[in-house]
Amino acid sequence: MSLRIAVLLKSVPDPKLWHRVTIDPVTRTLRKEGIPRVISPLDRNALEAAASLKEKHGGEVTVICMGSSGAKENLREALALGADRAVFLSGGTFGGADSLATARALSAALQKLGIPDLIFCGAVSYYGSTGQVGPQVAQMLGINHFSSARKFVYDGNMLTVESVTDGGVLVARGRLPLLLTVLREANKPRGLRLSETVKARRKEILEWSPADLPVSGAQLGLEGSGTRMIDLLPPTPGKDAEIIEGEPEVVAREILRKISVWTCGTGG
Amino acid sequence: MDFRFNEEQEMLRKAAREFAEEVLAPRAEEIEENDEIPTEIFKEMAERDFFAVTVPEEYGGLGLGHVARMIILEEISRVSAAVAMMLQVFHLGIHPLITFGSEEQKQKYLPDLAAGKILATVAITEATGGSDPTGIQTTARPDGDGYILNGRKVFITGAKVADIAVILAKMNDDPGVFSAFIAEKGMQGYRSGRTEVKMGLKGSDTGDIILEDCRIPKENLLGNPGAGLKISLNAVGEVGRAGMTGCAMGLITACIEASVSFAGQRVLGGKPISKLQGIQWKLAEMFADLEASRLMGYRAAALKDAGQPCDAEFATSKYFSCEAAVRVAKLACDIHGAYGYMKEYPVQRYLRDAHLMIPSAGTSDIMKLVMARTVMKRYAV
Repeated sequence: MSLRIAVLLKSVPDPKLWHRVTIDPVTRTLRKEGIPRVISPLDRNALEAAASLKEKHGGEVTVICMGSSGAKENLREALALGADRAVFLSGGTFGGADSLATARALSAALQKLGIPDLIFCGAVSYYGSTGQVGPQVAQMLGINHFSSARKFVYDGNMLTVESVTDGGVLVARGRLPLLLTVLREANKPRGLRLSETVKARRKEILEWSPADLPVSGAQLGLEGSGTRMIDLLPPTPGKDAEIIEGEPEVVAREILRKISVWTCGTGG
Repeated sequence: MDFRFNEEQEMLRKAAREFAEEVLAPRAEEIEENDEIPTEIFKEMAERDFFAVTVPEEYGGLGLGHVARMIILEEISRVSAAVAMMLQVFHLGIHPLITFGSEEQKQKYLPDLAAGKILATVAITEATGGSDPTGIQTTARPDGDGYILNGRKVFITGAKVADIAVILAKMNDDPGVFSAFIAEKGMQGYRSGRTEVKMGLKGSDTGDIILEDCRIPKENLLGNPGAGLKISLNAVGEVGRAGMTGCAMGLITACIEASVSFAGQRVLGGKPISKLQGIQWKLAEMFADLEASRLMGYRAAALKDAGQPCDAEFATSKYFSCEAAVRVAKLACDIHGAYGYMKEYPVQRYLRDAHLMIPSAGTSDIMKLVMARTVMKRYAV
């Protein structure tokens, strides 16, 4: 059976360069200028899940992303990684959205496209890391979902999923339409192939503003958010914390010595 | 003039960088220690279409051109100059077939070369002729409906792994005439010989190709009889030099990244050495060398993609960037102090790798001869 599959994708600052991110002392926002944007790593797993299913069963993969203009290149990348077309929600009042308002925007886009058979997204984003958007979208669309899937099998009719929970692994089956949030263990994402980057040039990216969606603008962005960020602080050392300063080799040796003392009671 | 890369080129760069960082980087030290590139690396490069970059689409390639090729080599060399060197020579081996091959030869070899199912190299250099290819001793004697080749090629990158080699030979019946032939691994009388143990570029396979009464069928004569020198010099001049430029640029970037990282952490007198003007001056020189190399290299590649003459431009970019690679690698070692000599730090590898870039695809001295010819012609009053 040919499948209509959607992937919810987030563009994030490259996690490998997070050490360069700073907090603006005045605006209390993250300063991420100059850090390249990548597809949130677990969304790569989601995209791989979708692409592999399409290649096995036939169908089409649409990737949907809400973000600033810099995210568009990540969408083009997604088109080179198995997606057939992309929808980019950008501009206007989309900005400042928390997970609730984000889920509303994505759900509205999915409703406009027609609810697909399967929706994939990463279990958490390498940014806000709430893990909420996927389940929220499923609820808004009135479809079932499984979170934190490490494995799934589609038999042409139902999906059997292994979901990792705090208490263990849940094995369950569900009928389509379904939403799945996936873990890194779900698969090994394919690498970018030059031939696919060439084909991706010719694939469609639809750009939608808030006015294009079947949802009120007041439900989107900062105005539509259920939460407000009050402040953003780097972690401060606790009162008993000890800061070790010096050359990296010296610091490393001292840390090892201290761990040795704590665990073995010896100087190491 | 717009000096920016376009969106498609940035995507190619991303694809190459992803391979370099995720597949190659974890194995770069293993390649260095074992002096061998695992076959999985070639397989991954083939799967990502790195061999298809310059092969025309009608032969299974991507036809992306030489700016695209240079981007890929630059990104790979930033992580492993040895792997970049192998890839650049595979492209070099493919080029004469694209430019001078008959339709039958193109149909026979290019699809598999583009897919990475077979690998190619170019075999010109001998003990008696490198900078001056007319000094080679390998002969080709017409024999029935083919040719018999005898000789020994040296310092051939890919000598062991290449499945086909474009061989330059002088005609037995007229030693002033040179022809090019496509030899295949498995042909009687063709074998790889000793593999060199090099100071650097560990893992890139450099060695002899030996021809002992090697019978080449007549359909494997490449180009017209007597066109051997033209074919060889075209390949080395426009593709070999471009490849070395790409390799040099990537290595220079790696040197700068390592130096900035070290200088930011190394504390002397209570502050990181990156605060010292002496270190900053070195970093500035390295940056200038990188910017100049990139401008020269990509400009020459863009000229080639536009079908414009680019011989002198590639000679200049090759000369400058490869000399700069050695210069910058030494500065990187200097910034590291004694640490720069220790195998734990990569900069010593960069210095050893950089040195071979100077004599490869034409020495700096030969590049200067090419440049001088252009200067005297272009600026004659």
